[in-house]
Amino acid sequence: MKIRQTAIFSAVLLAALVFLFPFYVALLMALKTPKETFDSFYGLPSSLNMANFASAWSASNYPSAMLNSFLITAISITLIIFVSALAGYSIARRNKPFYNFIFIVFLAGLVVPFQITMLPLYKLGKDLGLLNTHWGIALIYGGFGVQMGVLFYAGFIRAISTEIEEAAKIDGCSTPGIFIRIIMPLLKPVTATVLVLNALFIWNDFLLPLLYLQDKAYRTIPLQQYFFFGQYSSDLNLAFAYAVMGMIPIIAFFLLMQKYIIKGIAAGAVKG
Amino acid sequence: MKKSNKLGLCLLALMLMLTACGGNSGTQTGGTPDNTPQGGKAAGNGEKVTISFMHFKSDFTDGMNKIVEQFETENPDIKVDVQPVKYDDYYTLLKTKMAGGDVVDVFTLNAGAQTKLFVDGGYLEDLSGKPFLSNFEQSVVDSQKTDGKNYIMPMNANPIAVFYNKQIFSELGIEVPRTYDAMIAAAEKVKAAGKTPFALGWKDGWTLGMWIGRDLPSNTALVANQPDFFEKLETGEVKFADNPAIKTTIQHAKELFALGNKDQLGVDYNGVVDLFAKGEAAMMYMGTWPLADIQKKNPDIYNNMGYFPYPFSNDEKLNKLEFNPDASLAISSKSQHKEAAEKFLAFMASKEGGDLLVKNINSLSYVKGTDTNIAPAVNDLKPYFDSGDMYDSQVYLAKTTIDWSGQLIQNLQKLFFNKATEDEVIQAMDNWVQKNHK
Amino acid sequence: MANLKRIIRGELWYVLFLIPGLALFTLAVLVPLGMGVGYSMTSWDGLSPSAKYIGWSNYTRALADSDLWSALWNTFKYAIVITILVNVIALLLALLLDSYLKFKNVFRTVFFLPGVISIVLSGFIWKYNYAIGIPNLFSYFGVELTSPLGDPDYALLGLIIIAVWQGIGSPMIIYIAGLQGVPGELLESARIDGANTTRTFWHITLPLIAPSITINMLLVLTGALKVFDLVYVTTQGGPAFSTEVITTYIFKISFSSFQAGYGTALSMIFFLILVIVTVVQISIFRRREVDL
Repeated sequence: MKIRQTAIFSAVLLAALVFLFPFYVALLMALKTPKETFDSFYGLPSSLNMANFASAWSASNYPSAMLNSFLITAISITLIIFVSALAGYSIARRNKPFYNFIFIVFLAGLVVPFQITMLPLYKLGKDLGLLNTHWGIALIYGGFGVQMGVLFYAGFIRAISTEIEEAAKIDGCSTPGIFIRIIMPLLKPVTATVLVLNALFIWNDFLLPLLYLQDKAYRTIPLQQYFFFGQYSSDLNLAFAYAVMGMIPIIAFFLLMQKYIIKGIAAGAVKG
Repeated sequence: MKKSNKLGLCLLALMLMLTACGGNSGTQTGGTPDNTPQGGKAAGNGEKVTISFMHFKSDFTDGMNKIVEQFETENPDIKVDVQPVKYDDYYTLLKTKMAGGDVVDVFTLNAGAQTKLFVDGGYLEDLSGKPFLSNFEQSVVDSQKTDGKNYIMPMNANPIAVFYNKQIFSELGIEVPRTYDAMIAAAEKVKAAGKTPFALGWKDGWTLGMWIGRDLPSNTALVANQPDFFEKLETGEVKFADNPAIKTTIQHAKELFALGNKDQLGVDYNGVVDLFAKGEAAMMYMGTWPLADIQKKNPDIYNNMGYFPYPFSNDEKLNKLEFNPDASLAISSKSQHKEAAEKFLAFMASKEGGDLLVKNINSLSYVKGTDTNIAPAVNDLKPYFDSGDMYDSQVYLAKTTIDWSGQLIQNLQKLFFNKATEDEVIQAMDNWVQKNHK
Repeated sequence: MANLKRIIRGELWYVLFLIPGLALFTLAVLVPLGMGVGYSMTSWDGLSPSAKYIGWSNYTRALADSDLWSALWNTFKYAIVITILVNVIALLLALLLDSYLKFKNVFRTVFFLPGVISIVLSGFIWKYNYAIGIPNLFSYFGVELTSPLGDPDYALLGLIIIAVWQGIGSPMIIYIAGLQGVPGELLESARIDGANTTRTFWHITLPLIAPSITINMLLVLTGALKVFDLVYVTTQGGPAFSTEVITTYIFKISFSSFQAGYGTALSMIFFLILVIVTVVQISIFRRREVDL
């Protein structure tokens, strides 16, 4: 048994190292000078060289990109949570053809490839003045996120017993009252999951910002990264320093929120 | 697990997957342009005017910024918002913006097909007769005309030729080759000596594209004597099968591939510049842009490398120096700040602007009287500059919009890996032309 | 009458609750979809101010477009291999992590980590790993490797490796959750009855986690069919068309060949294919789950 455990552990460890290898290379590149990389690709840097980070920082307007990414992600997620919880509640509690139809429409929307909507989305954004604003792109993310959000909230709310709601109704509580006082406090686990997963997607999304945020002042981190790679394609070390810098916030966020992902799944599996 | 559990799990899972790792896909977009420019606010008296300037010299972002800074110092009432974009994505982004009604005041274009497309769409300001155009040789200005008018101002130009490692050449007793066969013989010698004959960098589409985009038109127009081949190709009057030069280019491609660096399609431009800078490769077909990089990485090689015209044929007299316009500048017809934009162009056309360009982006300026001393290697080409033994293969492509090069690249790659024969490549090209253009 | 009024008032709130979500969904998906249908019937080049209506010609042209079919073939090859690999590896890792393993939370984090970074980033990192990093590493052991992305026979595989690296995290977590739902007593009693690990896995664990398998298969497959960013930032469809997938083909048609109308028609066809795949897959797995 002991040997088996060790064998399994070693296998998993090896797999983990393979998974981490690309990160290691990125970090190594980021810490070395072009000359050091040129001389030996795997050689360790002669000193802990932060110069790449410093020049990437000053060349890239990093704080502004950070702020944009943060604002857009936050506004979008707030929207998604708000509209999905409401719609999910309706669908979960009214088991009628009309609501089921709406539910299926949301579901079908998930299959639409971006290719079709991309072109019109740009035109629409242009005509409605959604380009180069934080809230404009957030509205679109709201429309994307609500499909999944509704699925999620409806599933979660269906599993909540209706007894308390019935009682509250008899006591004269209105539908919004029930939703705010009884349902909302129960939605924390599912909300945490919706939040985390949308955050990952919106933070990393590239094509929609490429179209909607062409004004330099509104660039998000992936967009800024993309332009940065283009500009410094011959200075790989600088590009990698920027890559590492771009990864830090989202990895930190993931590590902090990790338990909510896992918890969310556990909650869904038990309650759903 | 109960059925209800299943649903909950599914929903969670659905959420997780599609958001966390769903392949996010898309095309970029267009839309019909409307006439409400959003780029510019009307400038009042004494107010600072901001013009946007998008360019594809993104490898020289810092260099371009220095030139712009100098312009801003001299014109304190104008601010230039510079937007460098990678060449590979430049036209997609520019077209998206234009089609969506965004205004970029000044932008770079390539003379020829791309310019024609923008002219046809009505996006370019007519620059004919502007005083700053007189700072260029009339022949250059004329060669960049579209439908008889000047919509673009020439900016810089590059020789596209073959860098070689002088030490390897002298050790193996190789003379600078003047014909194609001599170049291949030299390459064979290098290979026999255990070094890499050609640094190709064909992982990037543009490196191979740059080469076929010159070898084929050169051989078509000058060897096969069909200078109007590509125009006729677009209208369907001729086929690739009618052009003996296509066979020549395919043959050349095969030979270069066989004599190229290992992992020919896996190593990109940066990789081969490294290879050449390390002294491991003997020859590299390229413009002047890697010079700064090579100087940084290995000054010894930088000071001991040469540059010779690419011999596309076996006729020495035909093998002149390929000298191409690189970027040209255009002003948007929808610009709200045409005056400021013209000032910027006038600055770029001045001797000062030209010299700054030469200094900061290692390229030759078209402005009369500017510096030509870029690097030791480029001085090898001085005899050609002086005698005027230069040509521009791109003029043979100027009147067409058919973009065959991307398609030929992919088909050649099939050939390299024995997935297609020569005839199949030609056939595939003709099928593609027939399908995509009238 | 008062009764009816009450019903309406009661229902009204539920309908009102739907409106914000539906409005956003209409803006971001339904309207663009409708506009897309319109574009697909034109010969618009993507740049000129006007577009000509040409009816169904784009669609009939697509049927005869052999490049479309080879792009679809590549797409399905890519998607099916990924679906199998991701699910097998994710399940394997989930099984290992579900056992009494030291640092299992650390490992879980590590396997999830690649999925957190953007595709632009991972494509960038891997491109250099393939071209320089990995060949350099193997050269220490005297093995000469070249970048798979430079060889038409291996380029698709090269992309698959990146996608597996990035895509394993979420399915793995879903499998872990599924495995935690398998009652321990059931496994225990099977072991007492003399069933070995393999037998318990095939006969008890696997049927019990069937819902997780269904959902993972479905989501990985549809996600992989829609791949774009990864191909776009690494190979752009090359070499020799070997990684040309449906989405990059549509992109090229729309932009490099200036045929936005035709490109949109192709994406409509792609939409149809996705719907069919989804429906077929759901019905297959539904039936299988019932059988179990």
